[in-house]
Amino acid sequence: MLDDATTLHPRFRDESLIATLHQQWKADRCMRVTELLRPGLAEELHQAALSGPFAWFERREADISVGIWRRFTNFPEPHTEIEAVISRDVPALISAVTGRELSPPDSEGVAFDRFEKGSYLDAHTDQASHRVVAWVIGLTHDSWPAEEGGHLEFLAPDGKTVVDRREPGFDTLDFYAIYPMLRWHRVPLLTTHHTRLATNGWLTGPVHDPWERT
Amino acid sequence: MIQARLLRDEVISELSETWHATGALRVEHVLDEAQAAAALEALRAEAHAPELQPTADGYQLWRFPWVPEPACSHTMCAVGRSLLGEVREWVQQVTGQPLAPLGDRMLVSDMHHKGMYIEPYDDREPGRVVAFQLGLTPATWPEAWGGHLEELEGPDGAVRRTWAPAWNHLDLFDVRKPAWRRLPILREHVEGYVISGWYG
Repeated sequence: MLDDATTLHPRFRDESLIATLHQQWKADRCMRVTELLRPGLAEELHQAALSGPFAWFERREADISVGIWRRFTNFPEPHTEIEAVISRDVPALISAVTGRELSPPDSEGVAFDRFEKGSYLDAHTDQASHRVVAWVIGLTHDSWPAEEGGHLEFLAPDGKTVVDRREPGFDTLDFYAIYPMLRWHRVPLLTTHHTRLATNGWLTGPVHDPWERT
Repeated sequence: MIQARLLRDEVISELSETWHATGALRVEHVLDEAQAAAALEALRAEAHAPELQPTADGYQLWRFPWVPEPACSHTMCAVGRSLLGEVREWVQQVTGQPLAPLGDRMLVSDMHHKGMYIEPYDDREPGRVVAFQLGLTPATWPEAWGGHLEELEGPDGAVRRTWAPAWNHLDLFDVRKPAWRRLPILREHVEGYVISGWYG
């Protein structure tokens, strides 16, 4: 299945690696893979994402509270391979690792999210119709301490206690089950001048089977 | 409508002494309470647009600018006329400086908003003599949350004094000399507004 995933790093064609990742997935249903894309593609996507204007995106509603910079482009912008990355190959990889047939939503484009000082994404669960896995492709070169915000944090059911944390990555894929458990997560306010760049999405799939059967 | 107690000679004298000693002043409970409450309600209904410059010398604010109109009955025009009229005349007495509204008569409301900040800035500009800020924050918060205005010794200087957001207070600053200030980033969702302007 991953032989046709031309945008991914060729190492993912190794079935033994997929099997190892699958065991890792079963342990926590929340994981990161590095060296996601074929060599050079992450840098191309990073440059392409930053080549156009971002607009301030802000919402304060019951299920989401966010203030970030966002750039949305219709395929094939801003890069000819971005549609293959997020609509074909990343879903294929996550399906292979989770052992589930998961599908991306229909989409005509891609959104890149940029965090600067003052950006934040408050705690939320991503719960929505048929969403079972959320994913984040990291395109961030910069690094900084977690105390300055901007790191992806997973929270306990109280919605406040941090149980796991992922620093912004480059050429990384974070993915985590968001059904049936409520997996609260957030990106705390970035309080210093750094830039976090990523694109993210969700995969849908059957929701009647518990993960434990996989 | 300034509260009547502020018009007493002994009150003006005491405030004047502080002003001349420090070049900065906080006056508590400045407006008639009903007018302050009405201003808060009016500001809640006004759209405060994001103004964002995420650079090392930049800011992130949510602002509603307006010029109070002479014959308009809207609450914010009435508050604005008060700030540029009666309040200005009272500040003249306290500072001993002849003061006039600046030419554009523009006032700005800044809405407290998670993520707001201003990197160090010098508030001096030609024509400005006194900067004022009218705080309309129903409940203040700990300094650790950010959003407390800091007076600095210089652009990279130590914090000379911190000004916590509060309800119905008027802060005055002498901006004829270097007037470095900074607004540390606000880390939580809170409610309140600060109306700013200058007299010259």
